[in-house]
Amino acid sequence: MKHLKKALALTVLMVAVNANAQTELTVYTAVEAEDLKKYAARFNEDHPDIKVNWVRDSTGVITARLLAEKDNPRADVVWGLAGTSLLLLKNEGMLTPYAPKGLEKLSLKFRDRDETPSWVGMDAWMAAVCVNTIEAEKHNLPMPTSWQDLTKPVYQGHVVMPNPNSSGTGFLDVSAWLQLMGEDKGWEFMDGLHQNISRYTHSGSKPCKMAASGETTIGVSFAFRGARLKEQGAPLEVVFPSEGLGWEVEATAIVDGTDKVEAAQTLVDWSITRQAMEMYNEGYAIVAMPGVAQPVKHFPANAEELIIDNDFGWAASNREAILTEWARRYDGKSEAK
Amino acid sequence: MSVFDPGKSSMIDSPSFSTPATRNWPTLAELRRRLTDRWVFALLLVIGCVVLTLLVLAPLYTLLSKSVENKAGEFVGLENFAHYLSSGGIESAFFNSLWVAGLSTVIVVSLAFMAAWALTRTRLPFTGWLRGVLVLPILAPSLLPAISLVYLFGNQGVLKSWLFGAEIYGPIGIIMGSCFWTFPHALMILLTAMDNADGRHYEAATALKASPWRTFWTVTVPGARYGLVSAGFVVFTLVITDFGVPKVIGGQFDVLATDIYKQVIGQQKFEMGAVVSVLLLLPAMLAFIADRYVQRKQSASFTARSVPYRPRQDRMRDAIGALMLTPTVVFIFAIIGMAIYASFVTFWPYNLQLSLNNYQFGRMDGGGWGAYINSLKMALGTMLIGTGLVFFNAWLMERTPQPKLLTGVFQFLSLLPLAVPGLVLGLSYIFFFNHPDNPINGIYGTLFILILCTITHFYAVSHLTAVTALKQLDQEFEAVGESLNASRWRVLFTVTLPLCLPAILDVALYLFVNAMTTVSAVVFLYGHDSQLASVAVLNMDEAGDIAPAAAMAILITATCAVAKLIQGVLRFWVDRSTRAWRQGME
Amino acid sequence: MSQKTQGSRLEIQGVNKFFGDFCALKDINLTIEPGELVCFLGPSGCGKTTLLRIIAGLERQSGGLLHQGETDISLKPPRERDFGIVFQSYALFPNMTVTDNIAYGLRSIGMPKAQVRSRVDELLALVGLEDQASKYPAQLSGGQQQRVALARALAPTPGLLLLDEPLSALDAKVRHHLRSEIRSLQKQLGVTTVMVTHDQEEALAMADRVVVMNNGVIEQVGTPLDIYQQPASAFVASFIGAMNFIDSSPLNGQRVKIGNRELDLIRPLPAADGCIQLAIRPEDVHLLPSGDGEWEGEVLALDYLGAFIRTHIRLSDIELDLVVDVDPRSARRLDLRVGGCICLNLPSDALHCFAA
Repeated sequence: MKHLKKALALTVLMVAVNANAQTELTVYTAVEAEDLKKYAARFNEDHPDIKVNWVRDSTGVITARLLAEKDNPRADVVWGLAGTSLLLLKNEGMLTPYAPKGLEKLSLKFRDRDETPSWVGMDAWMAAVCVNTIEAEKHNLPMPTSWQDLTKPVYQGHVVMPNPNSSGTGFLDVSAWLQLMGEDKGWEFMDGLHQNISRYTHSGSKPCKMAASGETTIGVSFAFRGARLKEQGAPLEVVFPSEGLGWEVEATAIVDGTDKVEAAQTLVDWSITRQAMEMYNEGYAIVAMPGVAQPVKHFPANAEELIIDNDFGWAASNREAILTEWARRYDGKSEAK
Repeated sequence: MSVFDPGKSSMIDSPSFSTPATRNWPTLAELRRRLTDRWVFALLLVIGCVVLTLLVLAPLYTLLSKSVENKAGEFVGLENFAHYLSSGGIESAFFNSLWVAGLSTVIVVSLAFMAAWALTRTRLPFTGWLRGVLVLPILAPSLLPAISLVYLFGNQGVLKSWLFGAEIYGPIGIIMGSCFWTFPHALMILLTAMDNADGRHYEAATALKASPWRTFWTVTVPGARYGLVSAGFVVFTLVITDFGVPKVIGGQFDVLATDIYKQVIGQQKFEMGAVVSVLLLLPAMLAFIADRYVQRKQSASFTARSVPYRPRQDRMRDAIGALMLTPTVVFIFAIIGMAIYASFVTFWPYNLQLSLNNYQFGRMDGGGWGAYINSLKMALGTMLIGTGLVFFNAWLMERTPQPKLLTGVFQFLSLLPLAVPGLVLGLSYIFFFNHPDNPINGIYGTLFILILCTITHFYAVSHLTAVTALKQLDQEFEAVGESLNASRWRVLFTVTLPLCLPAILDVALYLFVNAMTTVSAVVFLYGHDSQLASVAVLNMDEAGDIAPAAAMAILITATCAVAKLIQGVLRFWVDRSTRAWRQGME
Repeated sequence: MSQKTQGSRLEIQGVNKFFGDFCALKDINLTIEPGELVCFLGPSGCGKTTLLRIIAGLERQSGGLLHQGETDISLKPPRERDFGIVFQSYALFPNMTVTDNIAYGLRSIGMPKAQVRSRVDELLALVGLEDQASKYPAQLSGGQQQRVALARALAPTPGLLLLDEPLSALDAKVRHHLRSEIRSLQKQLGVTTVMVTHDQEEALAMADRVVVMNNGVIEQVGTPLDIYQQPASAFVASFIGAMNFIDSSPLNGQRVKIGNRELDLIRPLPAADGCIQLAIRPEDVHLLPSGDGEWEGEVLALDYLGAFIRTHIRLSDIELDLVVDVDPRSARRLDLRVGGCICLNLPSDALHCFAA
């Protein structure tokens, strides 16, 4: 019934929209495909005159695509891409700084720190560990509660994590551990973890998917994916290690060179409204506007307290060195055990 | 002398032309007739070269030139190479790539040869159906075998114990997956090489009292050797440049192709991606040169005087043939069957209830039915434009007078795409076609650029098929035509095209099927209104919706199977309506 | 339409052909008269096919001129020349019936339908294939295919007919039959014809004139009789028919020395400083009973070849082997046996001499 109403509303909207002269915005995004329709529909409730044309792919592909298109950008707006990627684009001079209406309501952590920010945050996307309860029982594994737990010999061969050289999620974890534990302790931890890793994957969501299908017992991944899979019926426990979680902001920005500045600004303005934040909150436990977030199913209620004070600047400037060191230590040997 | 002086074309013959110039300006009618003179064909092939340069060489250059630039675009010589080589891990990736590709090649070529032998040298029944089954893998998107392999041999796999404790994630998985999708390529080449056997050679062997075993090694194998070399080259190149299978099932087993993925997608370092691409081109180029060298010595062994080979009754041999086909057929059925099963399962492996829900693509992400329609449009466009382009160019190269140098250049450009990984091609297309100074940058983001990219991606094999078909025609058709006052164009439409219809259908199907299933290049190029079903499969799998991904993969496979059926019916129809004049030709 | 066509005259002046550095044809000069059948004869690689293809315009000469009738065709593309051609492979269009194959050239020039039909019927009758009109080439025998190719080439009534080894793909019996058939057809139509062949028997049997070629040059042009009886060079002598060669050194006048004997010749000696090669056909050697002739020899072997016996004889005083053809009756008279002795004369009017 609810669906029907929505569909009806959408149809009415469409008709209304078609009657008006429309501005079409090309929006690049890494947001889950199934959420995109919802995002556009909600936005169009307020701004029926702007049509959102999505181009969606995984974070890595979209970022590579944006960078490759640098000389002749095709996107007008980026809505829903990792902060690290946006930092990269900003350094390439590919973003137009813009202070959207209501900027002051955002938490400082969730926006570019420049006075006129190049990007503004939507929500946070946080690390988590997916544990398959059936497999854990089968192998008699205790439920881990902390990162340190994962280095215990009992988990040997049961852990899968993303390769930070291929996956943003992987790098998020590594950079969080180094920040949490300090460099020496951080690497020491990863040495220990490495002993238990059965394999590194190229994709950030893969470890959780593998845990969901019992291909591994424990997958280091991110919370959103774990919650979704659990919702689909996977025998998963989404664990949030007690030391603290790496996280990444998902954000919105205007691509430099767009000839639809006004519409782009309208979209960015809307993307940080309370309404939008409530929409993000349907899937993400932490959103950029303090005080909006309601607890989300399969997420801990105190999600905000669990995330570390991530220094994105530090992570970005040390990325190359960290990845090289990581590759030196753990790459190039196919036998992890 | 006028520009249209046909004497100009004597340049391509010899410099010592010594005829006095005593001609007047040509009349208009004469001009029109001279349009069919040889320089027109040379010009057309030059245009063909330019088109391929625009589709292959120029885009590649824009990306590969980054291998000698730093991030800021300044020339840094071989610094990136030095940096990459010193970063470690490269030896293992390079070595891994070589041995995995090498071993896959050996396995695939052996299996394909056994299958081709069983299909052409025995009297097994149902060979038509068997041929259909054996090319099934080419109809499936690359993620399909990956999903099936995990369900079969993964930690929860039904056949896990068959691996004796080894893991599917790693070289075993890469080799199995690669073998699956490259097998039809090898089989098609070998069937072409072995279908036309000269019965007289077998009679000679029998007369010389050779045992069947000796006949096999002295007649069958040497007869197929060029096919074997070609198949080996194609499989090796396909495996070494593919990143789909290693990415999905390779675990942390490093190969060069996934290294490109790491550099470009993981870290956005285009210059390093370009470095790896260049390194990846080396083994592929070497294989290419070796293949060309061997093929140069090839001459048609099946001549007009040959007697088609008809295998005699021999139950023992037929049994061996059946035995040789069995593992491959079982493997293919297992993979496809598992994928079909996976598409109905509610939640593998914990909720095995079957349902049709996964086929309701409208509810899934990744574009759903719209993407499927786009894929169909794209595949049809690729098929129509691609077949025309490939065949016309091959005809220019093979059946019109051309300077040797030009055909050499063209041949190189046509085969180059085989050695280019799709990922590299896709990125190259962004740099080249999206450049603000490119006058046709308007096509970027449209269905049309997807079509162009896909044609380019699969140009080489289509080109080889067309050239092979054209070579088989009597070399003198055009000469006879000219003596009978018919232009090469008229001969093309009245003789060459009708005779090549089967090959044209083959090329069309090949392009259609690959356009339906391709991912690696187009993932960078689709726009908001041109999402593709094959990309949707990848996205759904990425989002954890494995069953819907399998369902979409099966839908694509089924579509390709229907296309194959249509092509089969058309071929049957062509064969039947031309049976009279084919008698004795085959 | 008249059956008799006016064959055209073909004039080849100073034609050269290079493939890179390789000289395939060197300064070829030749005139072919209207209605003539000329054979290009020579071993493979001698340039005969290249010359044919240059006449057709399928290859472009590196230098030199070609005239067909009054027209300079040196630079004309094949389509603008006036010829019909039959290849060794026939190159029949396999997807067309016999009728369509023959009509192909007529339709190219836009001949009205009714005319095409009557011309095709005419040609079918000419080559005796009226009952095969609706068959496809693959359903015909080799000889029939050959005739279709011929009919197709002749359909547009070309002034020049080019035949590239037209009979070599056929078996012996069909070949002999078609030989005379083509010849009589050609005479009947009066079409100027150039035929390339490596088969000397074919050339001698069919041609008005034979052009013997070797290594890219013309060695000799002449009637079959000329070529056989008056070979212009040692190559022609050896390539056409069988020939015995005898080394000799010139003395004064018409005398030459073979071994320690001297011999008077009728033909003038070639201007040569050193050795002179004498040549004699096997059938020109006179065999005589032992003791009667100038030369003595021993019979080494006898090959019975039906109408004659090929006798291998070693001349005893100069260690030279000769081949002599003898008719069976003479052989009986001379009591030829392997190992037997025999005498022979070398008639001086049958001796050819070439510079060595």
